[in-house]
Amino acid sequence: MNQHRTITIDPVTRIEGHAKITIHLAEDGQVADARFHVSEYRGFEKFCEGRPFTEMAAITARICGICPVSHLLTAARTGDKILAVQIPEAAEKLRRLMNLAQIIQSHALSFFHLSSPDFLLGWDSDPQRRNIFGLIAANPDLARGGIRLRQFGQGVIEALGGRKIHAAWAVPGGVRSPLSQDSRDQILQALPEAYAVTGQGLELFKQLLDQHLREELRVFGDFPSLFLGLVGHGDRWEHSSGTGCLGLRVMDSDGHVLADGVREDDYASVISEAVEPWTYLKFPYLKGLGPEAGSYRVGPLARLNLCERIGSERADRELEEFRHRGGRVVTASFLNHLARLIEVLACLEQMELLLHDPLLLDPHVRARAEVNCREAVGVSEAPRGTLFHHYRVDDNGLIQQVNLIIATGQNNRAMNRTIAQIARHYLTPTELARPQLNEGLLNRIEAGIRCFDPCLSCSTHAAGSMPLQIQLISAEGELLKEVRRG
Amino acid sequence: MTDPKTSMVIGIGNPLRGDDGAGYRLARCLQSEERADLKVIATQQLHVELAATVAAAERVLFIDASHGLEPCGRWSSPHVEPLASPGPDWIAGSTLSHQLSPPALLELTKALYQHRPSAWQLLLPGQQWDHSEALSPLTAAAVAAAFPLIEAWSRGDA
Repeated sequence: MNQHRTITIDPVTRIEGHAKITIHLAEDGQVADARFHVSEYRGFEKFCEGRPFTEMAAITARICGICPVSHLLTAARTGDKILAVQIPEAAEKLRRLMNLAQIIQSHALSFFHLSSPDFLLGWDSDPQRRNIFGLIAANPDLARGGIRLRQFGQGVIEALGGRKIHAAWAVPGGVRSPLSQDSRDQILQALPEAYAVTGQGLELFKQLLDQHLREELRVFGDFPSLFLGLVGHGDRWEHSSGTGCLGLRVMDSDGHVLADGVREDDYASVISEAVEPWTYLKFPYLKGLGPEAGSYRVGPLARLNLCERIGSERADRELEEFRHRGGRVVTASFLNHLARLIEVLACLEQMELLLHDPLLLDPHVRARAEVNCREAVGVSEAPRGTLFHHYRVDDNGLIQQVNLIIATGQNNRAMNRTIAQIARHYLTPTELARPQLNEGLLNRIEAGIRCFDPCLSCSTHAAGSMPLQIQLISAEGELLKEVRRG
Repeated sequence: MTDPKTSMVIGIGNPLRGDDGAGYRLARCLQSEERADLKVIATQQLHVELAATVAAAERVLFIDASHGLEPCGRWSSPHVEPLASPGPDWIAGSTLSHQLSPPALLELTKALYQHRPSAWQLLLPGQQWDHSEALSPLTAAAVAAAFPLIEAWSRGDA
């Protein structure tokens, strides 16, 4: 008997936000497709209209509680351009310091607490133990170390902004307050432990990759695609626009550069966004190539692929080893986990350099001006990938239009391809014939999503124009009912 | 007599999401009083590293907004209630992600630091969760009614 079946995983666990995955089977019983559905949407872009642009940092930082610093810094950067000011050098260095801390704390949570339970306890282990509590029982030092690393990053953010979450410290024109010498010294004192934890994580994960996780490299989202992100002068790894940043680069899996030095103001000339009726998440793509061929990945893997070097000794050694493992352009999405650890090391090294820069303690940290520009774009590298803020304001600086392009949305097509690849590999007709699906297999499919550490709260912010489609399909594939909005 | 230095209030919520921000706003009000007898944390979500802070407390009160309707369909009134240790299978119904629930945070604290402070919760009824910086009248009234409840809890009367 011909049957169309749909397998649903709802909710997807250990990611931020609400989502479900559906796996669609063809008539021959093989997996035809898999989809990552985002069922939550948030209307921040509409909410921002009519607000003073000076409030955008504080407002957008509350899009979610996971990556507020990335929005804060990008909003401030966009605000600088509305003022048309050059911010003081100390302010730029302090913002860079905060972004480095944000990447560290975010990657620490993603690797040590959300993903490593799978690696250390096994895909098929008891799901009630396959979490941070199981990790504490199995490897308490690693679990505590991960929390200490996260605390370190959050502590730097607190030292700069006064509060860990939603520190409205970065403002158009610079930052509200300089860094004190005491705070700088405290951060420096904490660096050795942060290096040690990162080193332990790197050694452990590389060992696991060599021994137990070889299949995952091939199956968890290994495919050619484009990669997009910021690159620094001298082809260095970059996380912030501004001084030292060359601009956006787009590269394909063969290492060909398709776009380079793209100014943040010109992002719309290279990126378009497609929508699908089955998810609130948009699908950005490179203009001219279409939504499929033009789809690209952002985030840790993309950033390491796009640069020639990181620019610091230990991280560059790791980058060399990373490329030895995966090639000059690494296409295995599973290696996002290793890329995160390398980025943490890079952040620590860059942070150490910054902390020894005497200019960092300069008290002049803010430039003041009126509205001088009616439209501006700010870009930065959030932990999960490139983040775009685009504002239009009136003469009084009130927001008329906002567009936010979030990292998770840019990885949308890649996440869908990843879960489809995993489903095709593991959900064989024999597995599908079992009365109950193997939980470990479903966990692997979810883990494909976790390679990208998605933050759905940030990504589903559009209001008013998003189509919504609900379909009821019979076992024979007949469409029984359909509800459509938008 | 409770040692005042080890009592902690954690207000949770997003102040840009209407009534969801009630717990956060209440905690910010308490912070502005700069009370010596309470450590007050206002946060949008509970994160793993908060376990180290919670481990230093003997008593913790979590304040958060809830959908507010009791099973009988009436609006619930705010009250402080003990947050019991979850049963052995609690994690099966818990979605562990970037943020934690109060029970998950307490269990994490116990697992990491071998100490689980006594815990209570104060749930404030909420009606609207869309983008807004204002509380609904029902929730605003509940926030006002919560202050004496927190005062009593801080004296150890709960």
